Amino acid sequence: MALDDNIPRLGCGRSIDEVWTTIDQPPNAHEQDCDQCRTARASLAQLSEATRTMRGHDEEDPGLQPRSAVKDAIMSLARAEVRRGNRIPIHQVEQGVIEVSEQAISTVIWFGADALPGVRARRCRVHPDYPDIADNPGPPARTAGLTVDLRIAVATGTYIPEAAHRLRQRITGMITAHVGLNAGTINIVVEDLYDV
Amino acid sequence: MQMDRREPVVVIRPDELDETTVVARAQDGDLDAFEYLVGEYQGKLFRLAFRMLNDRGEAEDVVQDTLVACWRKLPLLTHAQAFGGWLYQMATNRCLDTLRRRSIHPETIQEPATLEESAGCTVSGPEAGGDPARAAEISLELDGLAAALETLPPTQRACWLLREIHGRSYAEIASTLKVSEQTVRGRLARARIQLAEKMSQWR
Repeated sequence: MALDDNIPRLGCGRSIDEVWTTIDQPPNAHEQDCDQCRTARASLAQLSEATRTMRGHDEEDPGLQPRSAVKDAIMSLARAEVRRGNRIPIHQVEQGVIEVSEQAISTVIWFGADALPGVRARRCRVHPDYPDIADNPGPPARTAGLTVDLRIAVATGTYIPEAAHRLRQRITGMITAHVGLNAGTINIVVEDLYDV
Repeated sequence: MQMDRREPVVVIRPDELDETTVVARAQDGDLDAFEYLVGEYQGKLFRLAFRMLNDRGEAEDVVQDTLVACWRKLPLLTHAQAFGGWLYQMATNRCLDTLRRRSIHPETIQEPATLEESAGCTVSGPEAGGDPARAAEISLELDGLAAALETLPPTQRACWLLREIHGRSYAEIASTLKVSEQTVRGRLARARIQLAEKMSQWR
């Protein structure tokens, strides 16, 4: 809508934006002589001051926070609708299948990656890399491996091949120790750099 | 998850990570990461909603609705870097919906509340420096600006708050309100004129 797009102008032709962006500077020659500019500058300066006050005050004011009941309600809803990802069957014995949630394995991987300086583990997908147990009722007690797809950010200045190598070793160790499985393929995507 | 003693486990708290990493983990279902994000954003969203709606209860509803929707929709967010803007967008649209409902049912119109009545707070804080005269001046300034804000059309008020109080970019505000950046600049300029005029009258 054209009307909505126009920056309003004073009677003297200066746009309000021009006045606003130079409000912290001394008035120029035109503004010193022009009544309309002087009035506009004075009232916009007052607004600018009040805006600064509101920005500082509202952020500091402990009264301008939601009650703690709000966060409690949000978190209890989130817990009720928790997402655990796929359930991955990792072990089969005669009495049944043992499954671990993808999210539990991701947590192990994140913790493992957090121990390495210069690496931050982000999104993580985990798949069993063997034929589905349901299709393959064969001999029980067969342990399978996992495929991990992990996206990471690394600190600027990190030598990526070495960081990725150490991360692979770390993830393999964590999955063996905590899940009791072999990590087969570990795909790593460096999606971002961060400043230390 | 129960960790055993086989491997040393270093747990890094979310506040030691960059936000994009925390968002990515929340997307994959990490509740600790999500709880950290709720803590980081609930105050900001509340302050936006409170200044939009001038009502604590409705502002809390906006915060709760926005963050619950956030948890549900997080896996669909394609750019974790856009998380903050995405939350502001959801909260702003909920505020505008609330104001639209109010205009359809005018019996729910709010009494203009000053900050003290509505928030139960007093002006002190660092900016007053313990000086009662300065505190009174700040209080007058805030009430004047808050009352002037009430007179703006809702989308102008949203533009002004997002830009001037929350420092969001023109591009983000434009996408939130589904208008062009030029329209955002126009609305902001008009909002400033109206606020400046109202505040002069207030004095």
